[in-house]
Amino acid sequence: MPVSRRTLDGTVPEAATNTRAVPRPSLRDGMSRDYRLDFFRGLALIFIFIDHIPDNTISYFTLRSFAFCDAAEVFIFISGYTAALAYGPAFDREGVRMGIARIYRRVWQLYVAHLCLFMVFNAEVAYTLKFLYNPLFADELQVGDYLNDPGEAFIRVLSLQFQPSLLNILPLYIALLLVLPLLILCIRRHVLLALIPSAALWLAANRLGWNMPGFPEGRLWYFDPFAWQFLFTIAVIVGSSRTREHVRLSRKGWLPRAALVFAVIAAAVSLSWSLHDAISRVPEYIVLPETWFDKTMLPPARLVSVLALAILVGTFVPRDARFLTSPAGWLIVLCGQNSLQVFCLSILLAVLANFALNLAGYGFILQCLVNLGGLLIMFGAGLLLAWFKAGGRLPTAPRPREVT
Amino acid sequence: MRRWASLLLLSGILGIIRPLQLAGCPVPEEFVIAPESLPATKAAIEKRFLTIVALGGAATLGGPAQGDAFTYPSRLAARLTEAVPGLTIKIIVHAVPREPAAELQRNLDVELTADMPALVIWGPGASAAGRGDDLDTFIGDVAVAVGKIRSRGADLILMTLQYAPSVARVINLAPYRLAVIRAAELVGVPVLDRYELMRFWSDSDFLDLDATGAAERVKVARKLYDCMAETLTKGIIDAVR
Repeated sequence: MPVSRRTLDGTVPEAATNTRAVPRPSLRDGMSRDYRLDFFRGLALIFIFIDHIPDNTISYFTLRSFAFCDAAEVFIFISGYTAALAYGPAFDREGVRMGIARIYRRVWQLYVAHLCLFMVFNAEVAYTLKFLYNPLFADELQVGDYLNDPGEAFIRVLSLQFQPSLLNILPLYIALLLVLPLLILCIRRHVLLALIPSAALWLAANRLGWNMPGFPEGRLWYFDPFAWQFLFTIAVIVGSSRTREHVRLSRKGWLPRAALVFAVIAAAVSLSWSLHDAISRVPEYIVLPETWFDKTMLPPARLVSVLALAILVGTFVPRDARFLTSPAGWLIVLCGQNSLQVFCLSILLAVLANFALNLAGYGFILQCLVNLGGLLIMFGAGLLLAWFKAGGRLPTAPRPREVT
Repeated sequence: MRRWASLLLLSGILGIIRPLQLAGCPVPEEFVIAPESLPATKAAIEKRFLTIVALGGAATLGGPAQGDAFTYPSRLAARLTEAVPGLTIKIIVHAVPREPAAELQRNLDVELTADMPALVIWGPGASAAGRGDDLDTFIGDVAVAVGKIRSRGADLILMTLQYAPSVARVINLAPYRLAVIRAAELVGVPVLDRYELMRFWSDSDFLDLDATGAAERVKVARKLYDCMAETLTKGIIDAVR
C-alpha cells in the first residue's frame, strides 16, 4: 500500500512525537476537530461491512462479540453527536431556517444514496435469479418476489417502506434527520424538553410495539425509528455545545466506573455466546431472553451497552490519542469522515464478497482475503474522497497547525 | 395459501405405479437411520397399518415431477408397501412452500390430532436459507416443532434441505444443513442428510440437478424423488428390523 507508506512518511516518527515542541490541540481548543468521532465511525463502518458478509468467520471479532450492541448503535450514536456539532452552531450562526435547510439537504443526499443502493440490490437480485431458475427449488426461495409487481415495490422503496436486506439503516437515519430540527429547537429551550418525550416514545415503542409499517404487508421497519430515536436524541444532547460545556467526565467519577463495570460484564456474557456460536461444543453458560437483545426495538441492554462504550471512550481515550493519527488509524479516520460514501461502498462490497465466497467456498484463508480486499477498497475510497476534498492533495495525518 | 394434498394409497393402486419404478440408486453406506429410533413406526408396521405425515415445502409437494404419483411421499408409500407385503400405508402431505418453521408448528397440534401418524418426515431449511433466517432462531423453531411431534408419540425423521449446484452458488445453503443436523442432535431424532446425498448424486453425475431442458428436468425430479423414497425406505426398514 504505497499510499499508507506516504502517510507514514508524512507523520513525525513515533519517538519524536513524545518530545514534540508544538503542543497538540488541547481539550480547551473547542474548534479543533475531534478525530475520535471519525475514527470510531470509521471503525463502525468496517464492522458493518464485515458483519454484512453472511457466515463470515471474521465477524466473530467485531464489536457484537464483545458488547450487547453492535456497530449500528455506534454509527447512530456518533451520527447524532456529529449532527449536533455540525448543525447546532448553524442554527445559532445562520438562523433557524438556514439550519433546517442544511439538515434537509443532507436528508436529500441520504435519500439519493438509499435509492442508489436499491439499484445495487436490483442488480444483485437479477444476477441471483439467473442461478435460481431451478425447479427443484422453485416456490421455495423468495428472491426477487417483488419483481412480480415492480410498480408497487418501487413506490414502497421511495416511501422507505420496502427495506431489502442491508438497506435498512439509511431509512432510519433519514427519519432521524427529518426530526433533527425539532430536536435541536427543543434542546435550545431545555434539554429535558427533548429528553423526556424521546424517552417516553422509546418506552412506548418497547412496551407497546410501536413501529413503522414496512413492505411487503405485515413487515415492520428493521430499525424501529420510535425506539432508535432515543439513542439519537441522547447523542444529539451530548453533542450539543451547551451540554458539552457542563459535562466533564472525570476518570474518578461514578459514571465511568459504572460504565466500565457494565462494559466488562457485557463483554464477558457476549463473548460466552460468541464462543458457543463459533464452537458448538462450548456450552451456552448464560441464557437470557432474546427479547432483551432484539435489535429492532433497541432494548435497554443494547442502549446501555453503547452508552457505556461512549462514556468509556469519552473518558479514557484522549482527544489527541496517538493511534488516531497513526497511519492505520488515520486511514480509518478518513473512512469515518466520508461515512456516507464509504457506507454505500461497503454494502456493494458485502454483496460482492458474498458472491465470491459462495462461488469459491468458505475456506478460512479465502474469507480472510475477501475481508482484507474489501477493507483495502474502503480505505482506498476514504483516501480518494479525502484527496478530492482537499483539492487534489493527499491528506496527511493532522498536526496542530492543520487543525480546522 | 395452504395447499393440502392428502393421498390414501392402498396396495391395490400399486399396480399402476410399479411399472414407473426406476433403476436402483447409489447410496453411500453412511446414509442410515439409527436403529431403535423409530419405535412407533415399528409397532405400526407390525400391525400392518402405517400412517406417515410428510411435512415440508415445495420439495415435498413435488411439483417439478409433474404428477402426484411421482412425488417423494407417493414413491415412499409405493416402495414401503412393496418392501413390507400386506402393509397398508396412509401418507398425508402437509406442505406449504416457504412456510417458516415457526409458522408450521402453530398448525401442528391440529394436524397431528387429526392424523395420528406413527411417523413424521420433515425436511425444513430451504425457505429459511432463501430468506437468510437467523440460524439460532431456525434451530430453536425446528426443535420446538420436533418436541410437539414427539409429545404425540410419533416418530420423526428430519431431512436436511435439498442441494443443487446452481442454487448453492448464490445462496449459502450449507449452514442450514448443519442447523438441521444440530437440531436433530439437540432433540435426539434421526436425520437423513438429503443435502449430502443430493450432492453426492450431483457430483458423481448420477443426477444432473441443474438440468435445463424441460423434459430432462421432469425426468431428473422423478428420479430424485424416487431415489429419496428408496433411501428412506431402506433406512426405515433397517431401523425397525
